[in-house]
Amino acid sequence: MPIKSIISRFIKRRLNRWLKRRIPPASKHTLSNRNIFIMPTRFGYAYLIFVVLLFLLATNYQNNVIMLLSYLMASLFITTMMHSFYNLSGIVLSADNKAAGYAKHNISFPIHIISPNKRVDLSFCFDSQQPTHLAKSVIGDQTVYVSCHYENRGVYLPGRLKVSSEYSFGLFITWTRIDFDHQCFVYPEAITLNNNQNSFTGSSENSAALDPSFLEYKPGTDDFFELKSHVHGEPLSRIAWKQFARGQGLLTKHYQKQEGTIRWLKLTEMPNHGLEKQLQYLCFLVNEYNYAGQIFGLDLGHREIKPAQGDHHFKRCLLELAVFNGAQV
Amino acid sequence: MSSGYALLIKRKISTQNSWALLLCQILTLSLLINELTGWMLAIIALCLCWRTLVFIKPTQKPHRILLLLIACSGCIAIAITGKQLGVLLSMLHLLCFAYALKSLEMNSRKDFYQIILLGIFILASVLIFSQSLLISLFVFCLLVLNLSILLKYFYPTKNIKKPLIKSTKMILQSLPLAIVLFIFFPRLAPFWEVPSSKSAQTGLSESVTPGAIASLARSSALAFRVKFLTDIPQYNQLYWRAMVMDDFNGRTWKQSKNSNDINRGKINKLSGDIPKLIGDKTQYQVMLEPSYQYWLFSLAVVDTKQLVSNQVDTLTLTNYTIKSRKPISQTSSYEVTSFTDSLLNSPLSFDERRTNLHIPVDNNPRLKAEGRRLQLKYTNDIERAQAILDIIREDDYHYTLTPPLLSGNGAGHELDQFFYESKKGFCVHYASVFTFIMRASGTPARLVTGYLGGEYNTQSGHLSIYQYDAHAWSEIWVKDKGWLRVDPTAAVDPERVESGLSDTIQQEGLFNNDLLSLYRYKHLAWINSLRLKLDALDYQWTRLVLSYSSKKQYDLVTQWFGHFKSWKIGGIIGGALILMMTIMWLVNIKKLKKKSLDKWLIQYQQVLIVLKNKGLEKPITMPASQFSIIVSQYFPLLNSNFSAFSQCFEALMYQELSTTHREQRLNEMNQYHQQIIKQLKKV
Repeated sequence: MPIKSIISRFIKRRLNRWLKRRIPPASKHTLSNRNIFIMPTRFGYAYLIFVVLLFLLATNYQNNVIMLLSYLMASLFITTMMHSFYNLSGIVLSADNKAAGYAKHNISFPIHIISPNKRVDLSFCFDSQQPTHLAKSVIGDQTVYVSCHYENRGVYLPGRLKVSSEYSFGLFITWTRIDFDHQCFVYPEAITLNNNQNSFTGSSENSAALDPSFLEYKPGTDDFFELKSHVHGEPLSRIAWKQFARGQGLLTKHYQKQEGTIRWLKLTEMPNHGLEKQLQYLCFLVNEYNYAGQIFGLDLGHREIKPAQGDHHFKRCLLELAVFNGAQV
Repeated sequence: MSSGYALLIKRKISTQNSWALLLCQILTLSLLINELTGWMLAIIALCLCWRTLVFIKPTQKPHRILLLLIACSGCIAIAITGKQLGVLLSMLHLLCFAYALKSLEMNSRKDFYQIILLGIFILASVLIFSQSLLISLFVFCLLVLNLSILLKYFYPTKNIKKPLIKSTKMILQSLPLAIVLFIFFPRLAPFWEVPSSKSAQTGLSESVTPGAIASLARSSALAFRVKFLTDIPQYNQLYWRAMVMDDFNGRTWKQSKNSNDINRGKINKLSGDIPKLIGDKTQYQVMLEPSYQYWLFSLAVVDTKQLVSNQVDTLTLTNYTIKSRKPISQTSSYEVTSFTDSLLNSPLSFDERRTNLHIPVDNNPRLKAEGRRLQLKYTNDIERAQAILDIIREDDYHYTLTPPLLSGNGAGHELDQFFYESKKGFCVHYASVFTFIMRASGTPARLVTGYLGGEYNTQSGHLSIYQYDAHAWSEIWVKDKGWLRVDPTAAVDPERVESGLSDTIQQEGLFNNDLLSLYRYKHLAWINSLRLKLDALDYQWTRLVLSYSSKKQYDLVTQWFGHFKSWKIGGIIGGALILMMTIMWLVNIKKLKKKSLDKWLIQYQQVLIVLKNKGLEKPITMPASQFSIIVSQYFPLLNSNFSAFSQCFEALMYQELSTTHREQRLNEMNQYHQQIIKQLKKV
């Protein structure tokens, strides 16, 4: 067994090196004979054996029509190969190289594809991840979301994106493995921190150290306050698209703010259920505070983010939670 | 670059596709209705009905164990009847059984693949039993249907029409290479002995009993076709010999053992037996329809040295007939050169003489007496034969295809009953009576069966001989002249011999076993011309495809490319392959160019590029409508131009527009594009 694994690892390494030279990382790939691979599937091999069987039948019976049939099917094999190749060839794929999301949730990588004509049966996936299937592409551009799923927080490299198709008859699998240099930031899973939880209200000695306003804060209640007309520079995520769609103009959602106090979300103040759990609670709180439009700071002991608000700050905090204390990078 | 198996997507067969598959199964199996036994058809019908039930009520799916039980019992049933069915039919039963049963157990992709391949294999085996153009076309259509169903699995569409068109296109694209392979790929000899189909024998029967119903005369099925390379002899000279029946037991004529078993080797040994060939030669190619019999058809006398066939292993018998070593189970052809003026004068041995004079004791006493009377009256064999023909001609005899049954007033009196009482009959009756009287009068005589004449198709210049052309005549042995052909039918109905069955007799015959046959409507001119056209087409199919052989391949290659060399064949096939791939490549390039040059797409991209240069890049994931809001925020100068532009773009991209709407949108897009570019320049 070890010898086998050594050999397979060796082959894999050589293959990856070869792939790196053949299809170097880029933000945009055009599929062509440089980066498309094509192989018969198991059904394809079965089909070939079947054609040989037909040929034997024809020869043994000296039956010209069966002979013609077997030649036709052999010829179709080649036609199918060409069609399979042209189904991928010519597609242009581009993507941003970063995506972020929460652990144990699907994180989508938007892949932008431009296909010059209708393409059929495309599936996209990262290594050992769930594939995304596109039964039929439109002519022109379109975006496909390819998902990644990670159990733990950290920064991951999903590796090459595999685009494959079994069109036309499932005889061939046509695929490519293109490298967008994807990076995936995985935040801790947000776990609801309930005020009534024992660790907060009960015997905890350090409950006094908690910011009183923290306890007053009730998640789950509707903090939405009003809609104001959009001002240039406000984050896009706050635009009220529903109202816009109804033709009420561009409005921004504003939330009730508890002005005055600046809150620090501290790692040390989280209920002591282990570091990962604490980070997950923090992640939840960061989300809640951001949603409420609160100004908050993040204190992770030796790392600290100054209180602020807004999208950028929010992302920074989450990223900090993701990579804290040398998580998988 | 690991292989893609990990990536296989779970697919489901759509309901519509399942219906199409069921239809395809029914059509495929219906092609084999003649080959399958009744009980198998019943089981298959049951399986397919159950399948339909599952469609309506998916909960009715049969349990696995039940399926296994059905499968096992079916196999056992096939095994038990195996001996009776023969190997080939047993295999066919097994295949069809599996095909029908499999439709009840379609859970995975593998099952789906299996059922498609099984279907195509059954289609191929249909061709073992018939290779006619019609059946072949039907098989071809079903192949396309099978492929469409397979395609639809990977190419979900609303209906099966698109996959049908697509797979037809792909098949047609594959056809040129297939034809090149068919013409040039080396044709091999059979690798091993295969069980041949043992269908019911058609055509001439091995024995003839006057008084049995003339069922043969009523079939308008094709027996064989002939293409003459030299001039076509007159209709009344086209006596296609098949069997010589010299053994008469008082009621039935059949071939005697020794005339049947003498093979070509023996004829070669006795060099004196090789017939002397005189006169002009007649050269022709015979294309046989499968009859599951051994008999081959030819005009006497055949030049054995020039008998060419790749598909039939021929034997020449001393009685001037030829025979195949194996039953003719598929359309096959052979080339013959005949010298019709030659005499059939191989010496008559003592045994043969005795056989050809034999009449059972107490058989047809009145005819026997008549024979003896004529023997005394005419010493010359030919004069005596003429006298019998005169009686038939002058007396009140009728030619009819529906004679009364001859019960015989006691056994062995059938011919008497016919000759003196009913006086109604067809060729077999007259030939039998004539032969009987000749034997009774001391002249060796025998019955010959085969076909007479044929229908000349002016469109392709070939002769089609149908089952209703079947005929029987006599031969008498005359010293120094050998066997002379005498056709008593000519005496009673000269038209039959000169130009075929007359219309009244045809009406009488009714051909009631093929109601759908176009032959029934021969009297309608346009139907007749259509029938002849179809026949000409089928003939070309037979000539070009079915009778293509390694000899023809060799001739063709030497004719086109000089000496036959294997590297030449390789070159031709390789060249065809490369040519096909190149053409497809060029077509694809042209397609891509045409499609990617949609003006509106370029216009939109152009605007995006200008915006990008101005510092606003569209995030790729953002819909165009959303982006237009942002643009209106950043570039108020554009007014609503950009959002209208985006709307046009989205409409063109995602909506199914009628042509007038599309034109309108394209025009708008053009205008907005110009305005936006102009406005953006000012920014």
